[in-house]
Amino acid sequence: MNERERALDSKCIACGGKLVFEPSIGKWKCEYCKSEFDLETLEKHETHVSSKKNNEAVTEDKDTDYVEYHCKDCGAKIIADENTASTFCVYCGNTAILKSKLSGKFAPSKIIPFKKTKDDAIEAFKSLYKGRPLMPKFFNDPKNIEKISGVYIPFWLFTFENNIVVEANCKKVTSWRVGDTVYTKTDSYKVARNADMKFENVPVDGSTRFNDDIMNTIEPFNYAEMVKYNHAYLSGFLAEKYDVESDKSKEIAVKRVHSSEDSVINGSMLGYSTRVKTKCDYNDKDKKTEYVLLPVWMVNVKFGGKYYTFAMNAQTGEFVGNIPVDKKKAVIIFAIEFIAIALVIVLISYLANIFGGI
Amino acid sequence: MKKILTIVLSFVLLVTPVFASMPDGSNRTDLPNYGVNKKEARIDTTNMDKILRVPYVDSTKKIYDYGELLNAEEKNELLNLIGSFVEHTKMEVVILTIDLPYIYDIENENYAVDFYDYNDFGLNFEHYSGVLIYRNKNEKPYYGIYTFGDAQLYFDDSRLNNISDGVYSYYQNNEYLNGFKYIINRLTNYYDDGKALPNYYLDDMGYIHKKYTVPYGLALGGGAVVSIITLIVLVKKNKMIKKATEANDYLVKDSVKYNTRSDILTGSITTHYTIQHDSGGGGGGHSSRGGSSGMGHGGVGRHG
Repeated sequence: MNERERALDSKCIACGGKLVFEPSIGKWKCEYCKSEFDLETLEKHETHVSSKKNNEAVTEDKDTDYVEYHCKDCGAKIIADENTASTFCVYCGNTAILKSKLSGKFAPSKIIPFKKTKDDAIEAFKSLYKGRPLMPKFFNDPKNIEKISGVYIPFWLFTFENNIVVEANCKKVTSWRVGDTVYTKTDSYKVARNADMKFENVPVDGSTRFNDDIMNTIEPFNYAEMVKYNHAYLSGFLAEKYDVESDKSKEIAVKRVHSSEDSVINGSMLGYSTRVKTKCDYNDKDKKTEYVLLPVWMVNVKFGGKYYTFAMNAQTGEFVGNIPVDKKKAVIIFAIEFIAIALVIVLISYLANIFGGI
Repeated sequence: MKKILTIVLSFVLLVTPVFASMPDGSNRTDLPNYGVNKKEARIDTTNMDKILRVPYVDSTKKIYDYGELLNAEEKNELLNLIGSFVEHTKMEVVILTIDLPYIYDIENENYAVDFYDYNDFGLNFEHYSGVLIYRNKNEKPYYGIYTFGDAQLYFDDSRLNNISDGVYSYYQNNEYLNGFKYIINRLTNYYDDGKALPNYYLDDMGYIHKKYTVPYGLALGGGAVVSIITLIVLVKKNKMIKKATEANDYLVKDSVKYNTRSDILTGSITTHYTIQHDSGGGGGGHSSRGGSSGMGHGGVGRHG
């Protein structure tokens, strides 16, 4: 069954050239005439043209997991999978935003715009080798660096106002000595805690396509810079819609929150030698769930037949990923250090024998 | 005048109690180097009094019985035994008996060592090696066995203590011949067992030192451990992805409010125990002690 959909018009208001979001200035810039536009201007223009224009042809084949559409600029046929919300036309390079993927229940409420540019991401990737002698040389190959892409990742943000009740049997042991007699005093306590605490915007990656651990590692994002969602922010970047429902994501957030609640309570029970919990009740009050898009620079590097994913928090610049170990370098470093340490031990023992009479 | 003479005579007898009657004592001031012929021995103002207080003796006699504990027959029997020991071990044996008043135990060792160092004992042997068997028959009787040169490597404190334990009963019963024979025979047995300190060597001044052995095990083990730890640290540096287990970053500041926070004492028990002191000491390394001559020696001494 065919269905017509609209994609955001990411064209320059002045000349019709390609319009891209510039993280460094927080505005949209025309790649052709260099005109700059803020969000307000683009929104006004979008409202104006939307009543007149509706000419993008998108064909969706429901029997498969991909969407076929035609680029409204060059007419080329582009295929994307069902979770892709924003992509590029491989022929003309224009951003194509599939509005239907980001509307209705998939409409994000907020977005953190890209703050770190591609150059920042490239610089951060290049500097990964510092202090990492086991990194394969291949990793700094410009071919890898060029593959860095900006992606808006779908996240669920959960806010909880929780209550925790803990009871524990604790012991405090003190010891002192009088002459040759050692005294040990053991005080037993019944400890009780009942505390309220609030966790705001606990993020959980809403896409199965991205590794949860990587997304967790680039946290936290600065939510103070989060703004109301607008399709215009997607221009120049890839975007995904969520494919993990909020209920499932909430389970992950709750586990993390409970762990932090434990930490807070444990911190209030310091000074005891032993602590045995007899009761621990978590009362979760889910106050708010938000669906947002968060900016990430990503690159996949193939090494030894395996793909390694690296991601940078495009707001804070935190760059993470697991770098494979160059085994040849590891063997060389081990051998050199082994010989050096062995020689140093022999030298020290020899000098100690001469000067220390050991 | 007679009273003054008596006091002076008493003082001389007290300080140098036996030498007035030494049959083979010679005046050191008449001898080249004051009779000290060991080239490593120090001769200066710092130890001149020590040199002069010990008699210069004929080192071939081996038995110097100033305490008059042995008769001629017994001396002959011992000389035969000493001769066998010297021939077998290429080390000296000297028996010194004396009646020396003392305040501190160390004075016995100092005198015995000076007696050996400032006479020609062990001159024919490597490092002037030898053993001096010492018996002070003073009202506070004292005895010791002191070792010089290579004898320190064969007869360590452990072996000498064993011999001293065994000879105690002989001395208590005034069986000096049997006591000295017992010591020489035990020394011979220990010599035949080999060096007690095979990993030690003697320096030119007669001090023992532990030989240097390359600590292969430590070097290889230490190298491996440090290298592995370094490798683990470097590999961990490559692993930047961590699992998020907590949400501490999202805990709203000042949002933690305690509705209940109670710590109720429910019981208290006090126990005690008494520390038992261990009388045993730990093992230590072996070393030589220096005499007034500057040369090293070993040995043990005790009351009895």
